[in-house]
Amino acid sequence: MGVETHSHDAANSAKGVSPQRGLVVSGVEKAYRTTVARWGRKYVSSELKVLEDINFKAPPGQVVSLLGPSGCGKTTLLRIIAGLAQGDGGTITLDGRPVVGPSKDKAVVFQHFGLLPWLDVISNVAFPLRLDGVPHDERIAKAEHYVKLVGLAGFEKHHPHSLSGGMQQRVGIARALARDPSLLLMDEPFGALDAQTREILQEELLSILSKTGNSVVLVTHSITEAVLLSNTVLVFSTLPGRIKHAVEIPQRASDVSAAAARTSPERKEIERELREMLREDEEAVA
Amino acid sequence: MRAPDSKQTTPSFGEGAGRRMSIAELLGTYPNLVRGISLILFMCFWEFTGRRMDPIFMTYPTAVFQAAIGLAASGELLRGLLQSLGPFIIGMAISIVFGIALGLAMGLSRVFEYAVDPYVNALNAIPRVALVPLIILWCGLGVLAKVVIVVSVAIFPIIINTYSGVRDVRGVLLDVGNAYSATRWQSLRFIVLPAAMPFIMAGIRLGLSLGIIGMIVAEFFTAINGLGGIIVEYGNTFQTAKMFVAIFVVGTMGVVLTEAAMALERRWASWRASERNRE
Repeated sequence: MGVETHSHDAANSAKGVSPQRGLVVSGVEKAYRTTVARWGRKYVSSELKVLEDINFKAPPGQVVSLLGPSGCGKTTLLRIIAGLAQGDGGTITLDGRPVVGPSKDKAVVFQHFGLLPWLDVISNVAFPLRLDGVPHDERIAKAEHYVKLVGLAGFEKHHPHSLSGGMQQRVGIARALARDPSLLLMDEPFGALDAQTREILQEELLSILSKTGNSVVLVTHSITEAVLLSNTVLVFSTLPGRIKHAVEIPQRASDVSAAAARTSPERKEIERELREMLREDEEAVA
Repeated sequence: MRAPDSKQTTPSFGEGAGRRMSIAELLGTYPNLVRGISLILFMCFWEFTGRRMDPIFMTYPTAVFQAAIGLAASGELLRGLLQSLGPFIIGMAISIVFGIALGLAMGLSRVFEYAVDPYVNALNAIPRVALVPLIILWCGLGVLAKVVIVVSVAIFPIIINTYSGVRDVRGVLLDVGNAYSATRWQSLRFIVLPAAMPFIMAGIRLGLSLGIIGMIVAEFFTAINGLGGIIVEYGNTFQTAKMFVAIFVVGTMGVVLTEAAMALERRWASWRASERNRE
């Protein structure tokens, strides 16, 4: 399938006792079907293949980016992993257990934040714990910890509509962390923010992840964002979405300073390569 | 990160004595001043013209005031009010509970919606006054008939608003519930219901004002008692001033209930207004 996989994967699965730690996606496919009903029978009127033979791994503590043009199925893939949509084939496992639907060891950060507008910041962050039936004082204490972690101390009683977009997404991230999930799924989390806010949040996400150590699957169409935040960048082709290339980033920016990482010539070179990989596709379409 | 905005609660009046407002500015700044002046002028006009007219057709404010004292002192007014409120409160409670339940069920289940919407639409389209003789036939002239008439008008805006509220819940909010593995009950309780609350409250407010109409209509046609009974009785005996007392009480009841519903709406559904302002 033309996937360049580096030896990294093999090294990981050779670690021994629990080779299935983290997220493993193998052979996932998805097609959208339009159906018509006629005389009590259902006919498929058209079929659009959006994902074909998707295979990748996100070991614990690693960030994997799904990079590709709009409409390449990357958000669909994220929704399938989250359990919000059904795949047509293939298997997904998280820490060795098959993923069949939403579960408490996964958390989603939504592009448009998805905060509950009638709850204040602290209650939004505590929402997943409320679903778990955690007693009030305990969940508030836990939520306060994550509100602080994302830098929103002092805003606990504010409602989402009184916060800027960047602050709303901080709430979204804090809520996702509240259950301490092993996998964080982020759907273009900074796509709805202005450029400066996006850069600040990218850097803060790096420092948060270095403290929490979750695995992350990040959907993005920004090359810079993918290179800055990930260990592995999966480049998607469009329709049907396939993984064209898997590119390892030698050193994730959390290990060096993010500001330095943005301008390092090494990264600029990777960004240039990725841009070319994405362009191949456009030229083929044109 | 900037500090939380401290809301400025004490306005600063600045330096100096301030400028005296012109009359036009005063009227524009204090709406209740304008309302008060308007009411006083209207009362004067009414008092002046009312005294010159045949008392069978028209009365005047001081006569209404005297009639009010008389009716209150005899206990007739309070008795009428209580007779009206009983069936009204029962009818509203039934309308709110069953209206919300039906609206939720219709909004959540397509099959249930299809099964029920012919009746909801048909009943809602029939002017309910047309059903009053039938209701009397079935339920007699007592409290039951009154309750049924109140419910028949008040329940529909609550059903329809609850249904639209459930349908209006944005997909992304339902996704949030699913993504955090909420059960069906949790997603109803923590997402659908609060998201639909602004619609439900507006439906209850509409239901209250329609319910008052239903209550008066019921009292006109069934056992003639309560505030509607007072209106009919004194209307038929040409005691116009006493009739006006009951009309004012009904009007006040409407204003108080609507204001109370709006206060609850502001409390439980304020997020929607502030969200809209932001957009």
